[in-house]
Amino acid sequence: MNYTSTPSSAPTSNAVIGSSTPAVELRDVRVYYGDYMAVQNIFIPVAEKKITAFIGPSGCGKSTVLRSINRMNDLIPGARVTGEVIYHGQNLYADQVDPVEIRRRIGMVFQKPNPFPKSIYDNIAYGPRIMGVNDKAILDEIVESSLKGAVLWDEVKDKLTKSGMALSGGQQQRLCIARTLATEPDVILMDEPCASLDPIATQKIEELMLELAQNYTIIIVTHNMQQAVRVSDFTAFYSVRKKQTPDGTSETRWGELVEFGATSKLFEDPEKEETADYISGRFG
Amino acid sequence: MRSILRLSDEQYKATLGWRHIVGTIYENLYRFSLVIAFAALLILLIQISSQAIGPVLFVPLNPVEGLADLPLNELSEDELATIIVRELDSGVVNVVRDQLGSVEGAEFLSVPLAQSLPRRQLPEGISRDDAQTLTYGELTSAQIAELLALNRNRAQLTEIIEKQVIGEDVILEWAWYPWVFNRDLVYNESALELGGELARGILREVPDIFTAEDLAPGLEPIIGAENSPTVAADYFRLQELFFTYEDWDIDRRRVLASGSLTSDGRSSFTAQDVTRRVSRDLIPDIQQVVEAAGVPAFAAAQIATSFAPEIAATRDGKLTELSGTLPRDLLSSLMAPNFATRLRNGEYNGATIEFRSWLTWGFVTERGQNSTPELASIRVAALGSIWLVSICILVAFPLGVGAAIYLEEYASDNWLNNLIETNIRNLSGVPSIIYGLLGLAVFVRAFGFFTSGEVFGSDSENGRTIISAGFTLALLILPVIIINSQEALRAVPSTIREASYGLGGTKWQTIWRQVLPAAVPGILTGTILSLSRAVGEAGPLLVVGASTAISADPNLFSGFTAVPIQIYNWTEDSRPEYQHLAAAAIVVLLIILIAMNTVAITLRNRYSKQLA
Repeated sequence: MNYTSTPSSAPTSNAVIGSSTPAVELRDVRVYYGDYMAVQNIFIPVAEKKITAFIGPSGCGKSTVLRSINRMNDLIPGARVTGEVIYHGQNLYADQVDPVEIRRRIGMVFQKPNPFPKSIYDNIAYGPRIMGVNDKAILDEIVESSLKGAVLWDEVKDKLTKSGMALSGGQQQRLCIARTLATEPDVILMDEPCASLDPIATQKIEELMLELAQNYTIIIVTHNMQQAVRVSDFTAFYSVRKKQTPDGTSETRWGELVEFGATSKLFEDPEKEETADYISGRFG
Repeated sequence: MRSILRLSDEQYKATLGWRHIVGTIYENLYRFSLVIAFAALLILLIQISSQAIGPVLFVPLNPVEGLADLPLNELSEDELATIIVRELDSGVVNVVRDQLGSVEGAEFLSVPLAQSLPRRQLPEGISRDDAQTLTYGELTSAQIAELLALNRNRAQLTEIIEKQVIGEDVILEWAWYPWVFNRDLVYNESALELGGELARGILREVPDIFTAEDLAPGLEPIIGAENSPTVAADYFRLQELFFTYEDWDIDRRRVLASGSLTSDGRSSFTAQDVTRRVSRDLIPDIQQVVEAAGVPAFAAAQIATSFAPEIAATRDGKLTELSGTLPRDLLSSLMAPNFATRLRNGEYNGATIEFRSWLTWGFVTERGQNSTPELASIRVAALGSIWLVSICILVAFPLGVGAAIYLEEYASDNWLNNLIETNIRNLSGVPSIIYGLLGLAVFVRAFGFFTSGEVFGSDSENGRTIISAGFTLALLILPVIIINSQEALRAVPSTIREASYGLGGTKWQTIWRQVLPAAVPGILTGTILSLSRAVGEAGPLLVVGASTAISADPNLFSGFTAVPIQIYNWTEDSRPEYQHLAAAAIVVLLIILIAMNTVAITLRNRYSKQLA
């Protein structure tokens, strides 16, 4: 099988984001699971302190790409990434890079709220604690500022010892965001953070994202195009490619980046017809 | 729109009714299964526990002269102690050693008091310095009595007198239910037993009064005219044989060896029948006689009633159908010699029926002597079981959980790890006796120098020690702990792992701080349940070398016994009292198991609540 076809779109220029030093830059990223290539042709500069949205139909690999940014794919046996993910001028897939350090700098919020089965306080303090911070006063401060940062402080300040699992879905997701803030990252990856939430909770998370974007670089994967329009500054649109296997009995699928650009531009005047078809609801 | 199903309303209704019926049938089948399972459990529990409490008929074994008139609770502690020392004589050393001593065996007599009785109040006139040289063997009777009086309270001294000085002879015993549902049965059986002994006693008087010629006509209707003279003669010869000699063991052996009891013509009636016949003919007013013999009034009345129809029948010249064989019954009646003597002395005085529990605090905690059912105790076996479980948990828990963590979290998916995992699963199904053989070969034999405690200066003869047995049981439950822990680790949602990694946790931190705590309820439940299995195992312990002849509290390198072994041993014993002791021991074992399961459930609920 030959997947090393030339990219169907030219590498995206850093000029699109109006900055020569993106917070994170993906250069020709490909992700393999064993022999199977899941995504290829990913060139994305992620603007600092902006929100970048990944959209596209199911199976287009947007989550896979997101998880390659903080090397969460390392946890899946057989997963392998080629190309470069540049962060502060350093390729994250270089040999000397420790994924544990990366994940602290590039935090992650998951699709389903996943607080630890511990108290709210312990949930937030977990990140600092595993880094060796055990001073109660410092931890208290971190917990308070993180919860305030995630706009959850007023709701939970009286029940910090209660289990994090006892909160509502939206509160749990904000707790997870607060937990991420506690490790003082500068990039936050969000993998469909509102997929399991009701509209009101979704709205709160979106407001929170806009607020966080003042201090953090955010990358969000979303199925909801309105959400991408509402919150993101830049959007990357992915699509699925199919190909018959050489013996003709089945087909393989993989994801590719179709278009990347400012959200307003991409949604109002897309360069590619495929993008236009997708955002107007003609497929996907 | 045309229906694709093509079902008419009638057809639909018909199938719907049938589907509901099938559902109801299955629901009731499930309910039936539950009822059966519950009933089986209930019957099991009742069956096991029923022997642990119940009425006993007993007589005091060695009544102390004059004590009957003196209520024990009016005596002072000094007087009680004096009675103990006087009555037990040289045997008092066993009581003192069991109650107060810190040294086992004959050594107790020869080591200084400071060693054999440390931290005990010593009799007046013996200083701490004297205790360094003086031995128990050198104490006078008065000093021993003082020692007992100083260190035991009134209740304890009274118990020593009741249990060890007087003692009791349990004649009959029952489970609890006849006492509750049919108390007359208990009294009837007691009366017949006492009456039977009485009759046997009378029988022994017969040779003094009658000759074979007197008895033969009485036997005629039973065994026919031609046989009766021979049988009567044989009977009297045997009687003579047994009662003219004092050495019972020799006589018994001689009679059994002679084979004279197995010749033909004597298989159609029993000794008891002869006894009854003799009693009937000779004793018109049986109640008078039994009362004179000292049988309690309740029993005398019963005996009179029970025998009345037979007395009447005899007078009418009729005889009851008789069965059984003479030799066995005759022997059994002849082999209880002390009853005759006792009967003559009026020693049924004090025969009492008492409802008691075989399971007492003393049974669990006091050091007993297993040769006497009244003094038997489960203490040494229970301590053995506690040692075994402790060793088992110390060895199997860290190893098992460690192996499970490695297999679940670290091991890659290759053929070697798969082979190991499959084999661990197979090992959990291996019969426990096989583990016993493994323990025998490895821990007892190969590592005997270690398990006998030789390298630590212990003087055990071989590796058949608690530590060998503990390791063997640990091996037995190791696969179960590994499998249970693996299941528990696998049940931890992967989102927790992802969250921890996403925050910059290392693999070890993720496992230690998130995965393991979340898996703790499952791991603990599995571990405690497998430990309960280990507590109840007897097979592997027998192979490794459990012994029941252990009277000293065990230690790491001593020979041992355990509760299941003790139960097994007691159920094997032919003396009926031991069946009740076995039942009491089973209740102890059940309580231990239920306690362990309760701990498991409590831990699980507590941790699950924390996680929720």
